[in-house]
Amino acid sequence: MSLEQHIDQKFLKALKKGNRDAQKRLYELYKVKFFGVCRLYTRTKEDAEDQLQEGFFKIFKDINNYSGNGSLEGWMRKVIVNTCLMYIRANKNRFTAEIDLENVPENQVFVNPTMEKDWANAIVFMVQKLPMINQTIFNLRVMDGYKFNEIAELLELKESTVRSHFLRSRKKLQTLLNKSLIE
Amino acid sequence: MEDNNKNMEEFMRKAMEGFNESPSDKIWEGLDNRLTESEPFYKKFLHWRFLALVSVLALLLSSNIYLYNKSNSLESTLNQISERSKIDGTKESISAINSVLTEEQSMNEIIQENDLDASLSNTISAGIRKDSKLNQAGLFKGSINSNELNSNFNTGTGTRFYSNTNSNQSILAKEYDGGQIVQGYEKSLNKSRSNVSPLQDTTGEMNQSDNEFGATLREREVLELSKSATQDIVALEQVKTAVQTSAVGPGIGLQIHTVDILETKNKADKLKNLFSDWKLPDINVKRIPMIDKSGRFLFGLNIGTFFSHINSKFHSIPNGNAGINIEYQINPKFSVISSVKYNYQQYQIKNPSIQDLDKFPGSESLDNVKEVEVRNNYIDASLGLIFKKEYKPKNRLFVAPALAWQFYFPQTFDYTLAGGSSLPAPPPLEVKSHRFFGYFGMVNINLGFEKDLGAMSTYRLGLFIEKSLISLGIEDADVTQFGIRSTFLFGGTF
Repeated sequence: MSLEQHIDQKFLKALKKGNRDAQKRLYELYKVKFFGVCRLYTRTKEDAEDQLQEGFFKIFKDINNYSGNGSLEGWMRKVIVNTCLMYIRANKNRFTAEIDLENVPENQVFVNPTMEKDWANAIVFMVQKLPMINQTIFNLRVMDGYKFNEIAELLELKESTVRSHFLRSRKKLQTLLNKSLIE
Repeated sequence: MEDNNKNMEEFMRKAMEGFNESPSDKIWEGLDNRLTESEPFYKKFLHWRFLALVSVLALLLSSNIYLYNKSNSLESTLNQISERSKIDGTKESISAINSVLTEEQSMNEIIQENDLDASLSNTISAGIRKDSKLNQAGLFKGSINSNELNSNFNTGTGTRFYSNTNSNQSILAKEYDGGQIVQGYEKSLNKSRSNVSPLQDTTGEMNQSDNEFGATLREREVLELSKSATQDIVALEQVKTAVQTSAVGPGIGLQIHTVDILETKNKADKLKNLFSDWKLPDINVKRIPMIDKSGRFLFGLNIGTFFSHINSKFHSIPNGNAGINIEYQINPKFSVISSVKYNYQQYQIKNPSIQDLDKFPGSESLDNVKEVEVRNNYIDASLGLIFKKEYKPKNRLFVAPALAWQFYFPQTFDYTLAGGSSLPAPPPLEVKSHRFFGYFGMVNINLGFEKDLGAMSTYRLGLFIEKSLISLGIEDADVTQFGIRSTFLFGGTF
């Protein structure tokens, strides 16, 4: 049973009325999933938690703008991602002095996943080690399915720059992933 | 290679589906707190039922105040009509009495000539004319004339008719009972009576045929008199009804004269019919393009300072007000605005004349008032519109016309008295009224600019001028106020 199936019209109406119980229920349903999204777009767990809270706050405040067309989960995910992008823009200066992945000692990047959940954590860990611009572009492209021109528009960059950042980050992640798989 | 890349991307997406790390419980607690904080305290009041109830109450309150003000003005109108009637009656009575006196003087001269037949005829006609003129003047007080003349003529028919007339006269006497006027009339009537007294002896000697002739004449005259008096009574009843029931505004009543009675009644009927046919227009809100989901409520605090102008003798000092604003922004250019403010107003009158102090409580017993200071405290509630024009991003010019209702708390009047040439000035006298007043009201316009301080906050600074639509306070002051008002607004989308 997918999460979306828990949401019927009555539940949606309660959310739109600002019913606190309904809000809590929605939060409980999606907190893990969207926490994963926030983890991918941020650097630390604390930052991810902050963005999760901010994202849900916006969801609850703007739920009346959700027209009902399309999936609620998709709309909510978009709000969460936009919240993370705002956080990235606001911390632009902080992320410019990034440590390049190539300079990071391998023992800091290496993970040895033995279970599926560890793979998720390993991916989060690896993605977080990318420079912020690469991390954002990679997430938008791979995890959220944005096209290059859309990413360029969102980040106010040239499309060619976006492509180049994406290719570089993918290559690095692939290397890391292969290492992890082999070991 | 391409497949490898796609596989890797797919692998990562799939792997992320297995992400099951929970955020800290504090996240929900924080979120819960934020939601509670962001939920405006007034949100529960924004339900349409509540708003409808408040609107109905506001309407009832304002109509109540309006009717209260109107009933006061109607009362004063009725008083003025009554005064006017007295004045008119007095003028006419004086001329009627003079006429009676002149005619009775001529009667006496005739009697003195011992021409009984001629004097009898003159006496009857003079008596009739006397009654007729006095009736026209609207001055009746019982059956003094009629009884006297009845006893003189001593005829059954005459008595009967006089009885009828007397009853009408008594009603008219009630209507026109003006105290001094009636007394004045009685006095002059007694004088007339004393002049007529020689007739009594003479009339006793009248024969039967003369009696019958006199009675017939009187019957006719008295019938006419009775008819005229009845018409007058009906007309007076109509003017009273018209003034009490019509929706005519203050001041119109002053114009009412006996001649205008029916006209006024017709006006009142027309107005009544106009309002009985009036229906609320059928407005379909959905058809108004301006009202859409972009509407939002703004709440604010305002503070201002102003001067009051009443006339050249009144010196206002800077006054102040402060209150709250509630606005509904229909679109970025147009909002409905309402506010409730507490106002403190103070002004002085130096060397006031007796006329200036006419309506000031406690001033009647004071001589040599050097200065009066009036202190007012009142709440005003206004409702209006605001139109905005952006002249640069986040900065707008605005104009906001509004109507306001005033609720005056008891007023204070401080009198400073001048001392004599050798005596020191007595201590100031403070007189407090214990009356509350509600008024509709004032019209005002506010002009200025506003600036967005953030997504949810706006600062507004404007000049305002407001003018009373009616005279306010015990002193009946026709007030104009002008000043500056600063407002901080905050709010959001709902």
